[in-house]
Amino acid sequence: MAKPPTYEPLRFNPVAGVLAFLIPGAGHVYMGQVTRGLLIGAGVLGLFFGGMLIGGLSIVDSRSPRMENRISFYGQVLVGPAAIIVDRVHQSMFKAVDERTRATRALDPGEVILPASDPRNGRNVPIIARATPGTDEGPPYVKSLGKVHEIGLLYTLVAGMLNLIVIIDATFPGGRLVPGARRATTPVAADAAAQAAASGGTGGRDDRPDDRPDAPEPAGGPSVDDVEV
Amino acid sequence: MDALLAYTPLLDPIDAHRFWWLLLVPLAILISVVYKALRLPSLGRYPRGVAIMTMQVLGGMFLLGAAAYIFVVHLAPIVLPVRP
Repeated sequence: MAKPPTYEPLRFNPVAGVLAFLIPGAGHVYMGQVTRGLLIGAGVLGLFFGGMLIGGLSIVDSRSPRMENRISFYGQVLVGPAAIIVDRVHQSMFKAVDERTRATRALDPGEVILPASDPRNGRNVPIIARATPGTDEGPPYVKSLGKVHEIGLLYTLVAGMLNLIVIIDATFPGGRLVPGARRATTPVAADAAAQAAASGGTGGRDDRPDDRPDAPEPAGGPSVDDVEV
Repeated sequence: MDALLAYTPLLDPIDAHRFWWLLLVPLAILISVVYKALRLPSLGRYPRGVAIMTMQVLGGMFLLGAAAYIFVVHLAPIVLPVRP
């Protein structure tokens, strides 16, 4: 008679959850799953900074006049302090006060930031001024538009959503199939798999070769990082 | 060329308005990288799992796009004809 599928018991690890929020993947590294944590960190941060490489700095803007940017920031912030720092830098170093409206905003083409130390600036905060004609002065960055903006937003949002799953997985570790055990999603499927195994069939086997008990191990056997504890 | 010279990484957007859809490929790869790292009980066959999931995501997006194209271009005009 085949053994029923064995799952790791669910645990509660708030420290790993906090670490996963602070640095994507750090929660899993803290739990000893170094390779898994590094892959997660590379993926989540790769998505976030990949989105910024595509759409530029205007992708992360919690005070944008565009509503989709403001709403998206709630998803981006799930990446952790990286998103918050990028937004703070954006607000404090790449925006300035518009003297007409007295509001802080990003610069349009043909405008420059006049630092507070500039003698032409009568205020003690950076303000927006017209660029000198005939020079190549301009805003510190170009705003993204259209599909490029959408794809950049999508990258950063997906990074935040995935990191939410990562945080939950780090906070409540376990629940994975024990390596080498047969996978079944429901008790019914587990029974069917057990019956099929007893009769010599392969019923109940899903499309994940990683879970097959008869799957050959990599040459040299599993490494420490291959088998999660 | 000018747009390329003006590009500052992480500040300016890339000039990808004509081939934006190609950017869905690294998106699918990175999603698979994170998801499979979370889901697989053993990382022994991780690269293969990432490759399969990437193909599934890209194939799904292609099929959804094809279905949307067929509906919008061919079926919708039949169901709701545009009056001149």
